[in-house]
Amino acid sequence: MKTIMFSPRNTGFIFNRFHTFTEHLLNHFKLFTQLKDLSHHFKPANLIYFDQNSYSKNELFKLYKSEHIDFISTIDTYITHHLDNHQKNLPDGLLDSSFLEMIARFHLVKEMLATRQVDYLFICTTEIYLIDLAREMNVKTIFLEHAPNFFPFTVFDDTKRHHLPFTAKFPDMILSENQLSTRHWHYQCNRLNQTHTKILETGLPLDNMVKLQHPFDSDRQSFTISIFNTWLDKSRPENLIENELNLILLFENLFRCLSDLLPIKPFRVLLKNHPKLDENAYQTHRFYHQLAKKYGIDDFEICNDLDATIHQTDLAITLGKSSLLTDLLYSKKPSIIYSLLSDSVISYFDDINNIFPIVSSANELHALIKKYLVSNEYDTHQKKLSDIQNQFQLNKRTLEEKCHQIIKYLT
Amino acid sequence: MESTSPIKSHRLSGNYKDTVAAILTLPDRERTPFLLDLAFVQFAYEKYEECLTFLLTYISRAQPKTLSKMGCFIASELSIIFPNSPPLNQIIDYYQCPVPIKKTPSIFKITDFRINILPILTYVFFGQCAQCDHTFEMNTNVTLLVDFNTPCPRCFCSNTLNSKIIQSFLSSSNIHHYKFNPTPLSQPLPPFIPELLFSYDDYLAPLLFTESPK
Repeated sequence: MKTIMFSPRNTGFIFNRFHTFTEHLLNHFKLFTQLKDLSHHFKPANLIYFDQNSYSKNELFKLYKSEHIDFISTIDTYITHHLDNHQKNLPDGLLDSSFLEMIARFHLVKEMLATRQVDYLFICTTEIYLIDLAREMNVKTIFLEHAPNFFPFTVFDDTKRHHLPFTAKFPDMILSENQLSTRHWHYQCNRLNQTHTKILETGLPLDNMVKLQHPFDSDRQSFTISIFNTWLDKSRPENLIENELNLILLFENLFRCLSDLLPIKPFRVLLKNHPKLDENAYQTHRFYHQLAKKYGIDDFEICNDLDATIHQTDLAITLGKSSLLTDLLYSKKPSIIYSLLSDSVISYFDDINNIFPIVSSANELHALIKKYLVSNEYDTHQKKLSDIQNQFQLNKRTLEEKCHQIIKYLT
Repeated sequence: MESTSPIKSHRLSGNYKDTVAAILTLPDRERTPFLLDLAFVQFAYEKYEECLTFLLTYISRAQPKTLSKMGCFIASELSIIFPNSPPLNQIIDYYQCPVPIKKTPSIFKITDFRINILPILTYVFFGQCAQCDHTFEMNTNVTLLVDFNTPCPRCFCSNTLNSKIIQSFLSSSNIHHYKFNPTPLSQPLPPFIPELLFSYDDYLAPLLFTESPK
C-alpha cells in the first residue's frame, strides 16, 4: 500500500475542504500525518502518526544558521533596493519569528520525509519550496489547490516575479478542476518551460464547492444583486493602507450606484463577506448596514451561507478574481468583476475574460448593471455561460467521482 | 500580587489579546480575581454569552461583598441583552447595580496608529476616550471597513471607531510611506531563500509599513 502525505498548508484544509477526499484516500493509501487527533474523525487503520520532536527556537536557528543569515541579508537587500536605497531599521524580533515560522514548516516536512518512504506529497501552490526537498527524497509532488481559479496565480504572476529573481518550479503532477483549468495549467507550464509536469483532469476534490441540487425558489419575485466581498491580500504593500482606503470609497460608490439604479427597477441586495471578514462581524457588519441605510437600499441583507447566497443571486458582483467565479460559472450566474485594481491580472484566454466582464469605475458599473435590469443582457450573459459549460464539459463530476479518479490514477 | 499589574495595565490600555494571554499564564486558582477582566474583554468583543458566563463564574467563585464599578457596568449592560436571566437580575438587585443609561457613543479620538503583523495582521489605533481622556487602543483585523463601539476600559463610556474616522486620520496624518521601486532586483539571491520568501511574502511586504506616523 502506498503512502501519501499532505503538506503543512494542505493539512490545515483537511477538515474544511478535503474531508471527503481524505476519507476516500484512507481506503487505499496510508496517510502519514503529524495531526494527532485524525483518528477521531477518520478510520484509524491506515493512519500513521509522526511524533515530532519539539524544537526550541535556538535549536532551529542552530540547524539553519546559514539560511537564517541569508534570509536576513536577503530581506535587507530586498528592502534597501525597493525602497530607493533608503536605509530602514527592521525589527529583528519580527524577522526572526517570520523565519522561524517558515523554517519550522520546512523542517517538519524534511523530518517526516526522512523518517518514512512517502510516495506522494499533496502541496498547495504557495508551497513550491517543498518541491526540491521532495525530489531529493524521491517523493512525487502534486499540486492540490484548495480553490480552483481561472486566472494566473499570485506566485507565478509576472508583476510579482519581477520583484525577486525567481525560478518557477512545478510539481510532478497537478490536479485540475476542469477543461478550462487544464488549458490554463498547460499554458502556464509551457510559458515557464515546466514541461515535465503532468496535468490530471480529475477535478478538485473539495467539500466546499457549491452544491447544485438545491431547488430553485420559483416564488421569488425580485431581482437579486449579490456582492461577494473579498479581503485585500496584504502581501502587496499598497494593500495595507492605500487600497484599504480606496476600498472604502469603492463601497461608497458601489452603494451609490445601486441606489441610483433602484428607480429603474426594484431589486434586493445581498452581501456575502469573505469568512476572514466575518471573523469580526461585530466590527464589520454595521459598516455595510450603515451604507445601505445612507443610500436608501431597504432590501439589503448580509448572508452567511455561501451556497444560499449563490442560489438566490441573479447578478453577482465580485471585487476581484475570486475562486468564487468558478462556483458562479457552475451555477450559471452572470457575474461582473468590479475591480479595485486597474492593473489587475486577466486570464490568458479571451473566452474567460469575455464571461467575466471587468469594470473599474462606478460609471461603467452603473451602465453595465442597467443593461441587466432593462435589456436582455441577463439572457445573453447566461447563454454565454451555458455555451462555455457545454463546450468545456464543466461541472460534470460529483465529489465521489473526483476522488475515485484521483485514487485510480495514483494507485 | 506582582502578576496582577500587567493584566490590569493590558486591559486598561485596550490590549485585550495580551490581557487574555497574561491571565492564561496563571494557575487556575489564581485566575478568579481576573474573571471579571475576562468578562469585560468578552463584552468588548460583543460575545455576550461568554461575558455572562465569566461574570457568573466570578460571582460564584469570589462571592464578593460588593461589586466593582466594572462588574456593575457589565451586569447592567448584560441585563439589556438578557432581560429574563434570573441569576443576572439577582446580581443586579443584590449589588444594587445602576440602571444602564442610554447614551450616544462618543467618537474615538485617534492619536496614533500602528500595524501589527504577527500572528495576524492587525491595525492598532491609539486614541483617547472623549469622556475621560483615557488613552487606549482599538484594533481591527484584516480590514479598515469597520463601524463598531467599544467601552472605554476606564470610564466604560462607549466609543465609536469607524471607517470615516480612520479615513480622516490616515488621510491627514503623515503616515510613513516609502516610495516603492518596482524595478527587479538584479543581484542573485541564495538558492534556498527566494522560494521561501516568495511563499511567505505575506510577512515580508508589511515590513515596509511597521512604523508609526511621523
